[in-house]
Amino acid sequence: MKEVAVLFSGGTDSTAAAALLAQSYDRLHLLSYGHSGIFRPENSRVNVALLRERFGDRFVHEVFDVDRLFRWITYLDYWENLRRFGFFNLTTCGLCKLSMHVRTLAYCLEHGLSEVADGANRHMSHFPAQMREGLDELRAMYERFGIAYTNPVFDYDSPDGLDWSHKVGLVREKEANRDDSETKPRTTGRLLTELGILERENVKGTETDRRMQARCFQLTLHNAFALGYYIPRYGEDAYRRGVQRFYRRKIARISEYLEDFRQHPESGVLARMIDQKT
Amino acid sequence: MKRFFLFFLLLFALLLPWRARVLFTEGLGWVLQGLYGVYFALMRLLLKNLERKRADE
Repeated sequence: MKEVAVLFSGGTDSTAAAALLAQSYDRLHLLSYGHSGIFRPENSRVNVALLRERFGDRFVHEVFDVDRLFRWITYLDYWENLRRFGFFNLTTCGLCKLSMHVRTLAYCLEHGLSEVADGANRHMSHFPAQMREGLDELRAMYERFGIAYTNPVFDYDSPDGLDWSHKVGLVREKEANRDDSETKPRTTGRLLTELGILERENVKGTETDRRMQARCFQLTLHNAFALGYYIPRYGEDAYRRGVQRFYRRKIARISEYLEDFRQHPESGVLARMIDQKT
Repeated sequence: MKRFFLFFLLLFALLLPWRARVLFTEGLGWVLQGLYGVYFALMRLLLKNLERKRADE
């Protein structure tokens, strides 16, 4: 039986990744995550139901609380990392996603899975786990444990997000009258409408979008650092290099604990960090 | 000025323990949402008044 684990937020990108994989895999483990600061991770169930309607009951959906793991990863070697990487310790979105990947890797080890995918997309590239350099580090982490990590929708186009008329409060009218023909070709939303999973292809930034995935303001701090402070001052290349150095170091340390977890899945530091299931 | 402000805001966040940092960021998110809300409510008001004015003419 062909099986794959998918990091699944319930948004259009991860749903599209799951839909693509559902065409060639017998069983998909959709893994959703929550922690302090993320609200309503259970919203991801909305699109799991739609996927089941379209592809049948081949989806296992689990929602994990990674709060303890996220905190541990954030503060692991904190003072040394502060000295070496400074404000990169505030790339909360990258650290959050790293905790989700570590939990996913542990899940794969527990269930004997050798393939992982997610909805990472090149258009969100200031987030460490969506930029090529960050993805390469994650891929190397999975490879160490014999797991292949892929991003099926990485090269898909981005739809138009919120426009001015949404922001002045005309969202509902606009959503009802949204002209889908204006969107670029090959978006994840278009794929989902073609597969009959979504009724409208451009839901990003709409009420529909908010109903199908969790809400999180923790990106404020990350954006304040990356978009407000570091990139305007030092440039995007320096930011990317910094992200890569920081996450290479983090992943190297965490891999030591993952190795220990592989040897002793019932005990050890990581076993204590990942035992939360909502 | 903006960079100076952000530097101290980030420095403060860097020194916070876990729960306080989550709450601080959540608060920051709501403040920004509030500011955006006020900004766009004002824009909407202006837009409506302009539309009404044009309809009257």
